[in-house]
Amino acid sequence: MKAFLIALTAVALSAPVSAQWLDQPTAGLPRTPDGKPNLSAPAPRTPDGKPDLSGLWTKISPKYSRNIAADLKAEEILPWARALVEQRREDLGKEYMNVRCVPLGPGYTTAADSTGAEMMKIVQTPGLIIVLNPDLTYRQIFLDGRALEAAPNPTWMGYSVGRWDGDTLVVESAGFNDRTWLDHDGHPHTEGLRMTERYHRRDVGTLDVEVTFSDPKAYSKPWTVAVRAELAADTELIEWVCNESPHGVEHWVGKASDERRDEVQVAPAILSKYVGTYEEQQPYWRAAAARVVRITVVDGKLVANMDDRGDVPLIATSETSFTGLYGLGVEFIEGGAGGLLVKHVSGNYRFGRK
Amino acid sequence: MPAQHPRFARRALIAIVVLFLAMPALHAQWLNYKVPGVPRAPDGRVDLAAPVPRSPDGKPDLSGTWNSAQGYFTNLARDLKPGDLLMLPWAETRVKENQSNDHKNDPMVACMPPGVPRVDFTGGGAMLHPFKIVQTPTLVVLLYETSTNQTFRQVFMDGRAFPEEMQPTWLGYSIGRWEGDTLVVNTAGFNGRAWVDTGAGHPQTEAAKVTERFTRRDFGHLDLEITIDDPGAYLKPWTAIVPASLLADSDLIETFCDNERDLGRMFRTPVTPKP
Repeated sequence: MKAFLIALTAVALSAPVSAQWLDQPTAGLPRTPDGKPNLSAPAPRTPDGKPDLSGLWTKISPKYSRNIAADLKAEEILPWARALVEQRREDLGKEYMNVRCVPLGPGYTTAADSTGAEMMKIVQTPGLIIVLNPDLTYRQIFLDGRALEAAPNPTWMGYSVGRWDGDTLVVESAGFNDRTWLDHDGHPHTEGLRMTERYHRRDVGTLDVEVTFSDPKAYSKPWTVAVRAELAADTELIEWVCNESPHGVEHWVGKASDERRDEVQVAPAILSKYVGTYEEQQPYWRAAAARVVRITVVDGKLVANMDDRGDVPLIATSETSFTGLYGLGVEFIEGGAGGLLVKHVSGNYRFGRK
Repeated sequence: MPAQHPRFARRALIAIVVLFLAMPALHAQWLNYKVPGVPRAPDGRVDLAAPVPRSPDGKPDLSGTWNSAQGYFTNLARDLKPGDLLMLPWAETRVKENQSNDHKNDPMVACMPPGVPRVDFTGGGAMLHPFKIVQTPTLVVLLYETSTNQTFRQVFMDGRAFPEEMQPTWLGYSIGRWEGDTLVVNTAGFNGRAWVDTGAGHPQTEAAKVTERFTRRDFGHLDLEITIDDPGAYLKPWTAIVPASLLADSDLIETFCDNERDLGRMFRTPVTPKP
């Protein structure tokens, strides 16, 4: 229970960020006759004819922000890296960047629900593109023809150069230190990480981003994840200062495996009633789409998967209550027919059976 | 004020040095890269006396990496004459406190954003912590290296006014406009917790309004005139001029506070109450 609450605290650190200039219309956006932004209008172009990626974007990446390796086979993650993910989970994610108040590093593009990284503001000039994050970090992407240096001094944010491949901005990055995680689950990377991002503005309202990670000392092959971003019109970034939040890491006692102490055995006939797909009734305040939980039974145990992040075993604490959903609790209602509650320190989130 | 207390000056120096030492030694990355499109003398060096470049809309182009002159980080009021800076009594008291306790309550030591205007001059002279101006017609972005955490400000040039109610922040809300060839940036909406400078420890309140006037004198020089209108702390507005020079063929490097890892090492002697 303690571990459960603690893990939840990590998520609850993220207070809703209220935007200022909320009513200030974003200048230069095409609008429909009723004044609303026309998000399906063609992507705008800069005077030099390139697509203009400028704007404030809300990143949508429920799957990969939690598990960047969700599409990899376990054996494609080198053993030391797999062990480190397990260790970080057991340690309740205490060393996550937002707990230590250090930058997210290479994970900004894919970390959509980390406080301070939900949005990104792109400011595009011909030779330089800037990416601004709510946590006051920034990236410079140089488009003036310079090449990445061969042996860069490792940094949190890395070094980035960009070029245009047709209407797609291709950004190559290297020179990261090895202290950041690629996701909430704790997938590590080494200083040898190379990241390639491909940004394509589909229309005014949508930016597609493909991110390829190549880190042969940690993963046996490069892989690519896709993230979508939606234009956040008529609003703005507001500063979020991590060091303002008293994280009280000293109170984060216990281990994730402590959840097992209260485990009870539940009859297979009861577990089988819970199998199904559940969709969130009122979308989570920071998610662009309703979250989905799939419940299955594997080897007589309940297994859950939220937003395709990966299967996790649930730990029964009663016939209806479980823990282990990435630090969240699960309560089944009326044998699952009434849906389930995902329990979080901020309250219960109701999911209905699909 | 603004005369410096000799003891405080030494202590402040320790604090400031630690603020700089807190950074890992950073090697050059692209720091000798010859930026294209820059006027150069025959020997290849950037011609710092060349005329001010202009953006396509005819405005002066302030874009570049700028290094503020030394000394203002310690005391923004260093060039002021007696009577230029008049503090309310509580502010006088606060300044004395701030100068006598090894900067224990300097929010920058706790890795908070430096605030405005301090963020404009966190380096200086040989201690480089430059800022970079990225100018577009509707938005000017100020990227800061600072001696603690990298940070940025957005200056909206699209004609908007301040929001009626502003959630207080460290760096406030900035709107800008051109007055002739000078970029005038007005900032308000502060949380009142930042210090104006480091050694002197001039305070700021939520009532503060800061005006920064950026004038690029020639290719290599930028004057930054800073006016602080803060009736919560000062009897009248006061103005300082911080010259900045172009850091040619160079760029910002990364700085981050590593979670106050160095805080424990910062205070070498127990703090003694003032007599």
